[in-house]
Amino acid sequence: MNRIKSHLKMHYINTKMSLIIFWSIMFAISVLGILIALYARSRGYNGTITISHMPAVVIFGAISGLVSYNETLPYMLNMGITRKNFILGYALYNTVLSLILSVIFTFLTLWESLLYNLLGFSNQQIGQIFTAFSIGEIFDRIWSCFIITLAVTAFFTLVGSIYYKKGIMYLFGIGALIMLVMFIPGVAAGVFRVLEYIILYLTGDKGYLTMTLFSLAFFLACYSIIYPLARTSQVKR
Amino acid sequence: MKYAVECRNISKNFGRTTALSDINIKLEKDKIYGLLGRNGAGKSTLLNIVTAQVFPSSGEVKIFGETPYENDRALRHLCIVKESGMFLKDVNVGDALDIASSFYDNWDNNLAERLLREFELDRRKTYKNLSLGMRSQLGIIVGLASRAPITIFDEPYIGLDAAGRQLFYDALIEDYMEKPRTIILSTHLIDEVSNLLEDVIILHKGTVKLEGNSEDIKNKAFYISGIKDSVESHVSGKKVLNKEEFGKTMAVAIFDSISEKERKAMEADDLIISSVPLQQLFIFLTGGKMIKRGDMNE
Repeated sequence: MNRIKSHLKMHYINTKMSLIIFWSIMFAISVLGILIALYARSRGYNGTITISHMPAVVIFGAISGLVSYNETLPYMLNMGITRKNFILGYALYNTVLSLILSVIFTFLTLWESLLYNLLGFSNQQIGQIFTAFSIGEIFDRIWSCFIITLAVTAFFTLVGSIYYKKGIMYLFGIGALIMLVMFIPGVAAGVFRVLEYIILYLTGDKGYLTMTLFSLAFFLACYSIIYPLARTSQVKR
Repeated sequence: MKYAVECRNISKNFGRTTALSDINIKLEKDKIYGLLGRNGAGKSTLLNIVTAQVFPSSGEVKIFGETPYENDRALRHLCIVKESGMFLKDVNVGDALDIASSFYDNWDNNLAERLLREFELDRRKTYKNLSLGMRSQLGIIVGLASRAPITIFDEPYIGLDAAGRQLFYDALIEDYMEKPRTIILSTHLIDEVSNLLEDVIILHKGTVKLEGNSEDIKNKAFYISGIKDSVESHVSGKKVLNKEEFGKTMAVAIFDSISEKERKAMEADDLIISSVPLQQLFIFLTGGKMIKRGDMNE
């Protein structure tokens, strides 16, 4: 257990600076967005200004999953951790990171919503996700961001683990195979139905429970592939 | 007897390349070993296999009687410091030591702090901004402060100047005297470390060329020089490593024992007997043609 604690400590130390930089940029963009909105209104613009930091948060989670796996696996093996403990620690890191990103994302959005409201913008004008400003709404936002980020992070960790173990050509091969599979009648339509479901979920039209179960199942499916890959991975020459 | 490290019939192939072939070594507890070999001899591969970072193609490794692969208890006995670096590039020196301290059960923070001061390493500098020598210093600090029962230094002083290397040797021997443990030092700089090593293992092209107590080895390696005919008659039947002729004189390096009677006979014939330094012996064993026992006419 204390090896996993050490593992998480390593991730905390390794990630904290990139997290600080990332969120500083996000807050700077947020302030810039408010200034642009004020300027646009002063010039008579009355349309909707849509602001969402969700893609940036998801991309951060994805890059983190991809890069961090490749950087930390050899380092951790060098520090004498077992591959099993590495994967347990890494899954925990994915979860904690997704949660932290979601919490900060939610509070950033909350802060923006409050500020826009204070400046006299209506929710309709801004397209913000906060309407009631209730505790329930805050938790809803954290949870919805969390389960999406968790699934994306797990997926990119899977990509990272395939890259580490098999190399880039293998990944290209998988990519080509997926593209071929998409040509099978019905597959592309199915994929788009899933994407539609996710978007509807994000806009609040679908239930949390289904999406949560979907995300957890996806997370576990990714890790059920990552685990045997990591167990047979070696430090590269 | 439980050995600190035991390798049985270890072989490793990378595609068609054989990196290691049938390696059998047993390393005892609380000894300093030198793992010597030329570039590409298989030293790093062997050390990666010992630490379960690389899988052998065949054979097995035991760490205090246990296989290290996915064995937390066995892996806790190990600390390896590599020439290629072992740190995350965006982490600063202070944080790197902080991370390391949480992984090694016997971590000595006072020693780490003392070495940090002695090496004059800035703890705020990130790893990617350290020079090659500074990176080596950080690795050395982690290796020594880990106080792991088996501490492995794989070419730990790349980029370190002579003073820095001397500081490492002094700290190593001082710490070893205080807390004995099994230390494996993989290196090219044999002359510098020859006095530290209790046992040496010479790897050449993936096989163990020579293994044994360093004093015993030194006591078996001699230069015999003098008149050619006389030298040839005295070294006949001995394992000759090298021979050089200078007109009527000849200098021969042998790797064999010389009895007291043989020594007196050589001295009576005005032959000069001197010892072969470990580094020179290493060169003879790995660099050039090995002349077989008693085969002087090759």
